[in-house]
Amino acid sequence: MRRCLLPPLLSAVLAVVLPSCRSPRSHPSFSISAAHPVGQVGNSADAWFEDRARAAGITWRLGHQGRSPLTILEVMGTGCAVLDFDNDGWDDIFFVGQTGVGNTGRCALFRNRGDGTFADVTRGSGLEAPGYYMGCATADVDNDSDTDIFVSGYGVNRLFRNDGRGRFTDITRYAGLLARAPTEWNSAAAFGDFDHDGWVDLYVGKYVVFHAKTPQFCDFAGVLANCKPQVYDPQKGALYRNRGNGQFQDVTQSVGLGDQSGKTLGAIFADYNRDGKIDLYLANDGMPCDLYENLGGRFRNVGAVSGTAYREGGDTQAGMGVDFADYNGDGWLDLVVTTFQGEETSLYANRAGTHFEPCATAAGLDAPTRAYVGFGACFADFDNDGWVDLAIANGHVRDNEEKVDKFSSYRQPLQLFLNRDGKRFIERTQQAGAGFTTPAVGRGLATGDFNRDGRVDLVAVDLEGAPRLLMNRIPTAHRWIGFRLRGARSNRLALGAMVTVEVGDRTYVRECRTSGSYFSAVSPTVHVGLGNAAGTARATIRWTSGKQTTLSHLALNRYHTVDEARGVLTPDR
Amino acid sequence: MRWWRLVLLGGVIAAGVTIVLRCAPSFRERRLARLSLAELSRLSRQSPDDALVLYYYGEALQRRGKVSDAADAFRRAAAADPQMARARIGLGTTLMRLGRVAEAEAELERARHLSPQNAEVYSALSRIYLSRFDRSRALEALEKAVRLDARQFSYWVQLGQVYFLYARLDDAERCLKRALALRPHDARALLWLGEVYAQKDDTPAHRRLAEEYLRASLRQADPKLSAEAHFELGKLWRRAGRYADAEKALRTSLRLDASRDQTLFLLGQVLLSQGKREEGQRYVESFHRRNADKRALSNLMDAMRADPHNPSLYLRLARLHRRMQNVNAALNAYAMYLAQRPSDRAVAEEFERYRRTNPSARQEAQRP
Repeated sequence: MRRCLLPPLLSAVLAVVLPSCRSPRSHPSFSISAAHPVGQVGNSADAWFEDRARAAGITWRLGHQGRSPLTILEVMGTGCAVLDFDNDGWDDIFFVGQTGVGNTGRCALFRNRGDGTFADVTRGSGLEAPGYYMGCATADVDNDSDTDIFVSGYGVNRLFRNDGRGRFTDITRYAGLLARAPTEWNSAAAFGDFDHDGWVDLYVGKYVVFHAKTPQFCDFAGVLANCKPQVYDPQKGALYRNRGNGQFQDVTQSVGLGDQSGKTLGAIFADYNRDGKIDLYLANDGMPCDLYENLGGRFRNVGAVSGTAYREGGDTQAGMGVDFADYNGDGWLDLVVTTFQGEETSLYANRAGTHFEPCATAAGLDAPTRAYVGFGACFADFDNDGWVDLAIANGHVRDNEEKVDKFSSYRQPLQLFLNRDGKRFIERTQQAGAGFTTPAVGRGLATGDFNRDGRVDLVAVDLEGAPRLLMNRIPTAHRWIGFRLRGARSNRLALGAMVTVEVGDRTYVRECRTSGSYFSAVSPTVHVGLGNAAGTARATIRWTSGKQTTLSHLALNRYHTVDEARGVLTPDR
Repeated sequence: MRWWRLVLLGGVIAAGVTIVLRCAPSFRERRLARLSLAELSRLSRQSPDDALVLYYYGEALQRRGKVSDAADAFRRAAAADPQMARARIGLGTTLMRLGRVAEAEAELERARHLSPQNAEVYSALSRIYLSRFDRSRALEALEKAVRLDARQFSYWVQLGQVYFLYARLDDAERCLKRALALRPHDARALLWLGEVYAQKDDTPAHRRLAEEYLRASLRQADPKLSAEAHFELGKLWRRAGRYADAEKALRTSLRLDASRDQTLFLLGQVLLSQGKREEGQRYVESFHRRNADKRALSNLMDAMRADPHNPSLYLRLARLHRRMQNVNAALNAYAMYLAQRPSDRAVAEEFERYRRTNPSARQEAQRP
């Protein structure tokens, strides 16, 4: 009996006593690996994009040689432009450089030889002038059929007029575009003919008030790093009207752009409501973004009412890169804005030009984009299936981010999202290959077709390394059609022209422009993927002059050059 | 009885006595924990050096929202028994609530040193890290906290939140489900799990789960959280094109909590989507205006943290508070500016004029 009592007694004593004497217990721990691993290099043989920069002879590069920490001024990076500066039909590349950064400390111009290689033609081009440059924009400002280049930067603006023979002349002073102060921080720039007089006008965004007397670094839990933009007051951009005589006039206030939020990092001209008048969208960093509806030479800020000023829930976003395209095939231009880590890349679906609805979550862009700081953004139909896809260049703004947050990183991968039937974007970064998955400090990003194979290629700027020339080799038999437009009454590059292509029972709406992305300029060639379409295409071009040109029986898988005045149609290949 | 039985019985009794003696304070603690604030106050006066009494007094004060007094009680408890980790945790937690983050962290670090296996220390430290936007350290601290004590509901909820910040939605989902296994009807955990599903890939299954959890949160009838749950439902339904449902949810959210600016914005957008242009614009513009001042204030605070010795920021703060009709805050900011720039007569006069026109303002904002 007593033998039987002992174990229950012991158990009872321990049962009463032990719960109040807790002991540590082991529990399963969580993995601390990042949700989106970086640094995985894909199989180059199967990769959809091949980085051909080095092989093509592009030796220019950016980089701070490990200097740390870097200020906000040093980390915003630079852009690039895809343009055909010598009118030989091959897309060339212009890289924006910064004094003291990278291997040359200057801008660089690379001519496409047409054989897969590029020649550095910077020396003697007139583009070597030093400066702390950041953004660029391209257009034919004097309608002489040569693409000119505008470069913005900290305390500097430069407009380079192209003479068509590889020489650029700095006409900034004559044009009236000189920076007004050494601390004027000019950021994104965009060309567009807002008053439809046939001469492209120029918008130059500005970022924040930053100079030697403002805070240089902030404390992030014991780590010194560059401060958030919220710490600094905004600078506000300016709109310059092209007088047609090589001079530009600041019309910011008189046309109704005085109420900008400021801290602009992305600027794009696009006719979002298809009323024939080109509108202006500004992606602002930590401030409400601005959408200026063109009322016919005057603008009205409809950012908040249109739904594009804020994120879905009404929070401001760190607006950086920006692009417009009809991603869902309803004929209206939709908007994408890249943002900071922890925020989704904003995708706004255009509802018949009256307002926009955020649809990043529904389109599958929410979760995959929150892990990164997005900069350059380009819509393009990379697989020519008839639906515009999306490429994003990512990279953090703190060079010592790993010290601030060990689960984050300064270098981040680029991302490729393929559009499935205009409803969802599916991330295909891994398939895109090492050019995407190898982390970079991504900033500028621009599209073009460097080998004229009808597949859209990319060029991406890495703030801490060599740029990437990402040649598209997605295996596809999809058809496509391309247009090189030549304005007559409209501006010569036909920026703002709306192209509607009809093939079979589908209609595609695309706009000719160079503005968008981040600090960059894309090729003005209008590219349309057509999926498995057969036969010929019919295209209607609505020029910014108001003229409409309709072309029928257009051969597919060709670039067509269309002239506004002569209606000349030249199938390039 | 054989000798070995005697030895065994003796051993058992000795072990029992030892355990009881070791845990004896727990009996006293249970008694202290049941006492009212008044009784604890009296006891703390009678035994001013009794660390345990002071600790429980601090706990009681904290529960009543008397944070400053609680901090004082915890400080006295820690002084009476420097090895008492709990007192330092209490002190750290209350100091943090008082905005004295550096001191709070120092106390919590001492607590960690004294009791490295105490999960509560890591949970409290994670809050400090989060207040400084140091997400990675918060994440590590919370992972440690749940490893040490997986039975604490709040640790799982906090960890879920941090994973949510990192956009690690699967991990966030798992943590919030663990939390709900401990407290199935917690409105906040239900709400956040609903938000996790709302942010995951927009599939019908996730939408349905999001709606289920948000509705479950609403059933707990917490007014503040209900406003948030209605807001999230409005967002979810707007995405699905269910504008009438979204409008209804957002109007309810606004009725429950009129201070939520975002609701104004979203309601305005939903009305615009339905073609109710005039009313929609009114809501959006109202949001835009209210938001501008709040953003300016928040940005100014950021600037002041980065540049604390810049007097002009205080003057801007004063004027911003004036515009927002925050009289006391405006007067305090003026006073702080003038303390740094006493010779600025123009601003001194501006301050005096403003003070005279606001006689109801607190008297302590005197010209330095």
